Amino acid sequence: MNCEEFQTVVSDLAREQIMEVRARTHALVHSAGCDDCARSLADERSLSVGLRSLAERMKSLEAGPRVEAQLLASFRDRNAFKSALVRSHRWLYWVGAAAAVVLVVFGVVAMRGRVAPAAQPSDENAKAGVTKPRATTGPSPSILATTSAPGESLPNRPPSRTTGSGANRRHSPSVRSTFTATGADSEIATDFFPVGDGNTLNLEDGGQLVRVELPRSALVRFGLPVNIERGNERVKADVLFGADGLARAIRFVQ
Amino acid sequence: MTTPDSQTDAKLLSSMLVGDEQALAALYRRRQGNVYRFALQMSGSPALAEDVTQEVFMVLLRDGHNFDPARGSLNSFLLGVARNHVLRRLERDRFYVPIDEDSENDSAANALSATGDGPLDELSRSELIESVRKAVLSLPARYREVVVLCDLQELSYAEAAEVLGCAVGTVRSRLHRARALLIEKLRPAQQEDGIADVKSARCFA
Repeated sequence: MNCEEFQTVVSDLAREQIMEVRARTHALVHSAGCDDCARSLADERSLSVGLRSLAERMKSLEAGPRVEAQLLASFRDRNAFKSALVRSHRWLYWVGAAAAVVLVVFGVVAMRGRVAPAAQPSDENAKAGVTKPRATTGPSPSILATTSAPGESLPNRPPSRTTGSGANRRHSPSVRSTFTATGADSEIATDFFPVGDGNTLNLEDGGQLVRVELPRSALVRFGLPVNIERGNERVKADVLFGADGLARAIRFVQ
Repeated sequence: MTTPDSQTDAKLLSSMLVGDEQALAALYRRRQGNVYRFALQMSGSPALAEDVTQEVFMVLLRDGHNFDPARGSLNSFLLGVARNHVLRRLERDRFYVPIDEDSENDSAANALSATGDGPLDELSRSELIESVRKAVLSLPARYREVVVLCDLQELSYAEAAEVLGCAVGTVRSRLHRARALLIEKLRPAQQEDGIADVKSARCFA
């Protein structure tokens, strides 16, 4: 072993670290024959003694009891805060649930408020008499509401006539925003389109207006634009029946 | 039933994290000495060491769930946290804590010579310890921490590497360099002045 190799192990040797017996023996032999390395080993050993003495003297030193007291107090505060947090979370949960219930109640009340005015005319119609609708030649409709009495609730304006068959009408009708006589304020209706032979003006004998529901694809038949993707949806319509029970006109409602 | 004192660190930690105060007390009493001494040996200030000890265990209260036993012992974890706090505090306070280099060198000058077999050995023992303490405190932080961990806390190289977050080889080389610096600081004054005949030089025998 030379001096350079000795320097790599002198710290471990002085600190009495576990090392190979052979390396230790070689190092000790080298230090015995080399003054510089012997002095280096002596210095390292002296340093180790000093450090060990320092460690021994400080071994009994500990943090004061104040630190432990403060730490435990902090721990208790922390736990109390956590408990309070859990309690407040539980309280928030119940407040949230109550708020949800209140919202549902308000929603139901609001819905009933909207439905009630619309249902009132139907009640009046029911008092006046109920007439079963008759089937028309168009696509099979599903009945939504009962009809009005003959001559009652007829449209104020007669259906517009077109040249040729109404069923083959191709130009887009003017859609006007009208408030129907049934009191459904939010409904928008088209003009009446003639159905069948087009004798729609002969209504002096009275007539019946029946609310039906048709496939949206039926709009095509009256020259109205239809979104093919929504072809299977259903659309509301008012069918005007003559006294003879035949459908005379139809208008679509939204 | 096992008492808290007989439980492992990991068990005490998990109990503490679910609110067991006795577990915290047991863990604190078991580990606070190491943390406090490390901070004291690194800083030389008992007040700072107490502050750091408290901060370390507060970190354990707050972030104890981050401790992973697979990455090292709880003692290493605590010492690692302590090291970060000490370095931060020393960096923050460096302008306010003057180091008296002259008196330090004077007291350290004859420290190594006092370790001989002379009659004044016992008398100068306290002086030696104080000199070594001051010499350690005067080391740069990266060398001081390896001396504190390996020589004063008596950790293995691997444990010190865990605390410092570096390789074992780095610990070894830093310790070697740190001890050389300490020997230079503690070398008797007459050698520094060239009175001694033998100068330190490497031989290649």
